[in-house]
Amino acid sequence: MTEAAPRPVILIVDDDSDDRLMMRDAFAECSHHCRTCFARDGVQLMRILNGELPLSGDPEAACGYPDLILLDLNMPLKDGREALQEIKSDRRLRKIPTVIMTTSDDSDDIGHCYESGANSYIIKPSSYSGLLDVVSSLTHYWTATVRLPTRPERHDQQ
Amino acid sequence: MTKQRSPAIIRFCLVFSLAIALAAIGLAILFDFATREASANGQLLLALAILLTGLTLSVLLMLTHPFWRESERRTRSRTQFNTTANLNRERSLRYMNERIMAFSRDILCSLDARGRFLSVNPASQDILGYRPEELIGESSGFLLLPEDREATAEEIARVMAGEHHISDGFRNHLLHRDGHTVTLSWTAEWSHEDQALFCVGRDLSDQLAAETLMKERDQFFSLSPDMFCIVDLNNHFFEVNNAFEQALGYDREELLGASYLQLVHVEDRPRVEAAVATLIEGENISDLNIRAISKDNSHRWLELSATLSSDDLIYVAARDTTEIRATQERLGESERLLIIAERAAGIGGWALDLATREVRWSQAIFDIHELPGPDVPSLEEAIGFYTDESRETLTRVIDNCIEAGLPFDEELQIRTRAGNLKWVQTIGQAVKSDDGRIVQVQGAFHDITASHQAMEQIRRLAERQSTIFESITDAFFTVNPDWRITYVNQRSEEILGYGREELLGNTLWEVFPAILGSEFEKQYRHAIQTGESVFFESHYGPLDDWFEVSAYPSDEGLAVYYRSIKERKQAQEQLEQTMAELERSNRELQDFAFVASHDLQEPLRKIQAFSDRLLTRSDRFNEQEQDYLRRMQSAAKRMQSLIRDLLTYSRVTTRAQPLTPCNTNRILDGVLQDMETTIARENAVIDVQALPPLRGDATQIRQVFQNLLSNAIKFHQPGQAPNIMIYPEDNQEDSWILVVSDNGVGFDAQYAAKLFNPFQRLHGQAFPGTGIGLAIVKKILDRHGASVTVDSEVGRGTVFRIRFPTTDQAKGDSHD
Repeated sequence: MTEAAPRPVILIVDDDSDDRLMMRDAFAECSHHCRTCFARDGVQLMRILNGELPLSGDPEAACGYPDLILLDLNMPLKDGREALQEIKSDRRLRKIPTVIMTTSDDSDDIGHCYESGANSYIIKPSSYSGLLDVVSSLTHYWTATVRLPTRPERHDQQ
Repeated sequence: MTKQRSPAIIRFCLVFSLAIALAAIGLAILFDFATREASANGQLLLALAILLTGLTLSVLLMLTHPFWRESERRTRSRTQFNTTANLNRERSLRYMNERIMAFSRDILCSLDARGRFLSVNPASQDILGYRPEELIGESSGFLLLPEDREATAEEIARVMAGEHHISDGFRNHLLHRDGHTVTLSWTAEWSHEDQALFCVGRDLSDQLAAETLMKERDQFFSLSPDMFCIVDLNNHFFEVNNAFEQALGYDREELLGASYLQLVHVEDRPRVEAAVATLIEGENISDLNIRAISKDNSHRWLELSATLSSDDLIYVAARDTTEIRATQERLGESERLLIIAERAAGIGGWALDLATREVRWSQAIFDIHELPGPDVPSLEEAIGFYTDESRETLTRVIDNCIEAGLPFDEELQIRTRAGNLKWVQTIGQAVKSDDGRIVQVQGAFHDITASHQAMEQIRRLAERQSTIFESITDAFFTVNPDWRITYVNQRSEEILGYGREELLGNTLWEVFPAILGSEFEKQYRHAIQTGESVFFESHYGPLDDWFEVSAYPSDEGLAVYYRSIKERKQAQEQLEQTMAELERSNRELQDFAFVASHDLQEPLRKIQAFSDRLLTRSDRFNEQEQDYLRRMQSAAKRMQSLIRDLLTYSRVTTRAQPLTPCNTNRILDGVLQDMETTIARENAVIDVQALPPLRGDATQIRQVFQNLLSNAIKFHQPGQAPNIMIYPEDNQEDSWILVVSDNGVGFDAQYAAKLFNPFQRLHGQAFPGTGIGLAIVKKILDRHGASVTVDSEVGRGTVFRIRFPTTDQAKGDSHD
């Protein structure tokens, strides 16, 4: 059966509410065929990925796995680096493309993240227009250029 | 006498003639008988013979008759004469005999046939101790020594028998009245008519004594080891003894009668002859030294003494002084050497005779006093050489020595004749005569100026050393090989809390039992065993202190220097703590800087983003509102770059990497590449020459280039494209100068000092920038040990000159 490919879900993980706002607005403005969900920190992220929490904000995202994770590095409780490692070492989760968001161009950090398995990184721009550019190229790449992997089967679904 | 005998001869002739006549007759008869048958000639001859014989006899008779008568007459007259003469003579003879007998020194005596004294002369008293009247009538036997009796009796018998009535020197021994033996030599004659034995006895005692003496002398002469010889005035040897023979190697036979001058060395002969002349004049010769030539042709020195005796013989005693001379020569040499040595060593001997107050000095003492000699100064003069204090001491000790016999040994000071001050050691002792009186003071004298000075120096050094030891801040003690404490300095006393007296002489282990079994003991023993110095730190319980110890072993034991390093240890700990803290603080700072910058930048970013968001909805806002929003944005942006710059600035140290050799050109090329767009945009012309390598942190060097170049481009003259030149200058072995010159706006040189201050913007806000770029450059260059100078002229441009060291002179930071 063919159904309309569901819209990709992009999970944005950032502890800063302002950033979350900015991202939401940016995505809403430039990318209509993506849906965005949010997590506050690494803990929440893992719980979502483990199915403990639903992908917030979207009743359609019942399966619980996002198609793309935008991960902020500096977060309380569990920061992006840790979460990244956990994701990329988990057999099921590591297929999810994860893009790191960082405010600095700390090459060491980025290098580590790559080693940990990050797929890409973006620098949080300080201008909105810059953000728009980033978001659009991001979504374009990940939704159109790259074929997202098929969602993994979930054996136990709530 | 002949006359007395003449009658006898005449008679004899008569008898003889008679006998012949008878013989002739007899012969005739016989012959006649025999020659009855003989010829007539024979008978004739015979008859003639008889006739002749008869005739001869008759003639003889006739002849002798007158003679016979004459002689008888003479005899008669003589007898007559003799009788009177005899009577007179007898009288005078008797008188003379009596005198002779009285005065004769010999015993004149007569003995009868039985040996009894008939007469004895007075000499018997002297010789035998008996007066004549005591002996007359006595038997002579009692005077004889028993052993002589037989011989004497025999002799007497012989004499009496007439065998030889002149006994020649019969000797026997008679007893003197005193009991001693007298040896007599007898001449005796037996008179038959007197029936007496006339004896003359000579006392041989003196003769014997003389004989014995002679014998002894002979023996002495011949056996004496000393050389004796007797020579006559004709220069011939008369007698020589064995010693003489042996000394010169000649036999006696060879010498006797030979000229002695042959044996004398040619050069000495004149002296010998002169000596003989002297002897003849009556003087004795002694100590005449000549050379004699011995048989083997070697020379022997002889010392001769000679005297001329009354028998015209020169008696010579000689001593072979060859050896002695040699010895004396050697001795003389030794003495000379001794004097030389004495003088060289500056040691001399002296003596003071108390009786004469005479002073004797050996040569060396003259030298020391710088006197020429040989006149020895008087005692007062000698004492006058000493300095005042020394004189006092000297007089005192000499007096003590003279009076009480106390020896002395003093170090005193003299001023020599030449005026020089010298230190001398004078030693003296008293010399006593046999009866215990002190008669002389003598001793030795030694120039000790040099050694005195040396001793002074040593003393001073020792004092200084002692002072030093006492004053050095290190505590110090020494122990001998038995671990007994031999020296403790003051600081040691202070630290250990023991006085010197309590420590000296005791062993280390006794006084400080706490170090037994500790590092101290181990190290000390190791040092002594191996002879190597040890340096170590250890904690000493009883004082609760850390000590840094240096122990130096030597033949005399161990010298230990130690100091309390509690403070140092504490300081060290402090330092380590501080370092750790510093490091922690640094890290914290670093983290903080990072976090701070991040956390500071975040809100700024948001401000910018949101205001930017607003601006994209520009239709909602009027110009003014948009303007405000833009200002907000740029302010935020500005703050962001400030913070970023600050972070970069702080990272110069916190993110510093070690200095390594860098390819300067390559770094520059990288920077130029990064700045490509800017360079292109501004139409900047950058001329780069070959640059020497430098030692540095590549990243930071990059930053330097970046900042300098971006400045050079940024601060261009309006309307003028920036023209930048980068080239090296003054390339030396240990450094070179990097020159970056531009043709930009330049700046007022009076502000050159402020150029590298952080946030210093010399052009105000005319040009963008935070003003931290050059501060960062300066900080990096400081870290690299590079110096920078800037020349600038407003409107002309700016030249940066950076001297990079190429050796290890660059100082790192705490991370290196």
